[in-house]
Amino acid sequence: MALVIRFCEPVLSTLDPRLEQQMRLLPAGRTKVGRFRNLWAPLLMPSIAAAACMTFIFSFTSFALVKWITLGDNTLESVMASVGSSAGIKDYMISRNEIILGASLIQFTILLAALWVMSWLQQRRQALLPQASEAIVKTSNGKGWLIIGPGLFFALSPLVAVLWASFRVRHTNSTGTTYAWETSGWEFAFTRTNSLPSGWDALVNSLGYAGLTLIIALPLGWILAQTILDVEKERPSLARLLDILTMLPFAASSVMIGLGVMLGMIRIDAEFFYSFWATPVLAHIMITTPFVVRIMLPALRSINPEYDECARTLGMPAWKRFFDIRLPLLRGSILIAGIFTLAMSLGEFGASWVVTRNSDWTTLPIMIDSLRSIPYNTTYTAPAACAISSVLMMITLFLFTWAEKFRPARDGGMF
Amino acid sequence: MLECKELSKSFEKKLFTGFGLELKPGEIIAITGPSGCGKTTLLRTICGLESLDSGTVMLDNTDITNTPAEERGIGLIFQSPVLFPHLSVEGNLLLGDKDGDISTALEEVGLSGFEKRRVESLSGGEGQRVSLARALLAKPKVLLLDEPFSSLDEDLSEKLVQDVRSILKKNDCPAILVTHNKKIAGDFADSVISLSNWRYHDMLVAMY
Repeated sequence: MALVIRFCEPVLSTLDPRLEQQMRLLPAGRTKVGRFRNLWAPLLMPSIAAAACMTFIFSFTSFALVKWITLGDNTLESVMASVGSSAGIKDYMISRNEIILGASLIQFTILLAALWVMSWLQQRRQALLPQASEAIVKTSNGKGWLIIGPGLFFALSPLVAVLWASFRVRHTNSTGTTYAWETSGWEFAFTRTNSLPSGWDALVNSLGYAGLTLIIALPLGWILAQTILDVEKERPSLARLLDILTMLPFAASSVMIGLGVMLGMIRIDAEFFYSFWATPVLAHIMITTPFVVRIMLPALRSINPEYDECARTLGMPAWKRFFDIRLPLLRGSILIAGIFTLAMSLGEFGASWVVTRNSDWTTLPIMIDSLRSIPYNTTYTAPAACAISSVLMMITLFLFTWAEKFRPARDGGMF
Repeated sequence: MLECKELSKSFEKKLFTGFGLELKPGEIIAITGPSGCGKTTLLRTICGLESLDSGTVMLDNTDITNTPAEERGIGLIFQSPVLFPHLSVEGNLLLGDKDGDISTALEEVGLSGFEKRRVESLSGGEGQRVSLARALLAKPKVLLLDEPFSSLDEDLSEKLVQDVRSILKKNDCPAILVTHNKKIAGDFADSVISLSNWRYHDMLVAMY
């Protein structure tokens, strides 16, 4: 649902209102049905279809939900993760390697097809939409809350429930089961035990991994986007190929990326990588860099080349043009890309779970999984898992809300 | 003095071949021609934003043909005002000269008190005036104007033509205007060259 809103809302909010005004004056658009059929449906359909593709991709590669909710049921993603622990070890459990190879190829092919359809739909959509002036875009529309209100309720309810559950502790004894409002779940989550690290360790690791991912993925994605743009002018077909190559990690699920990193680790120096704190960052960079490219590329494309030319005729050297013109113009997109990178790295589970399975490093999502893996009859594990979830949720909610402040008013959507 | 010798440029078709002109200090020249004849490209090659196929551009007896645009000291005013949206009017003007007298520069173009205005709140005419003020603050040795009046209505265009001409003359700034409008060319410049005829090596110079 969030994806559909994210894809369709910008189309509705930034579309030039004169299109609807014109349609009202034409015979085909005199009725609401006519306007829907002849204006809104054709304009929104590519966005809805693109959102559907993205929803399919997200659901198809969902790992944490399958692992935690559908006990006993498997998907391609969960099979790859669960049998992947032995992958890559020479002459060991070869049949399992074949299962992973087969599952990866099937998943890769399906994801690539879905991505191709989405990319095609996005291109069609971007070419079709005349946008309104910034003043019109900033005008608030009260009717929008009729859709956004229930949507927000639907999206926030599970999050509120998690926070609520972190304070609701179940006590079972010989007289029966009672529930009490307590902070013991939070205390349990942030205290180190023999079998579990402290929530603080997980928080510090998660923030460290996210920070390091940001430092590497943001400039890397920016450079890739700039390279695509530079090549585009002279050799458009090569630029298209580069564009597709940067999207390839989208066609690999997080578990597949985690397995890839793990196989590389085993081949190079397994012992070193399993004891190296920053190893999960490799997977996080692979996962987040394509998102940075997808955010930075349209931003770079949207800069009027005359700005640079004008600055040159004013005598500004290259470094001054970069800092005084290019950087401020890209500020919003850089911040959005950076915040997205942080949030995605913080919440990343599948790849981290595969990569850190044989090491001591933990992250917030992995700690949630560890707590949930403990038998349910332990009093504090469920509230503690909800407490860690609440911390993760609050950080990512803050980051995404913060990112919205920097989104250009005429942004075309997607991420 | 700006001297252009034997300038040639072609993209998919030949735009101009063997073009030459001399621009004396304080002189204003207009170059006319129909759309697509290469007027804008000519200006872009003179200020260094495009490379030439052949020919030489000399400024004050120095060959600047291969000098980067930012080091030539030649200003350019684009067809539509190019104002940086992340900066106020004052911020845009400071790009021309960070120690410049912004109030005087704005007063000169008839926009006193516009320092703190956001650029998106400016009309087309106001935007071109700010572009002109910024270009003049950079103290260019030559100012090139690429049809800056073409998107304005007739009354505003006529007024701005006279205003810009008098500002350039007051600053003793040599300038080249390209336009497809012969009336504007005549009103603005000391002399007019037709680029469309130049392709046939037939220079038409009309003195006004």
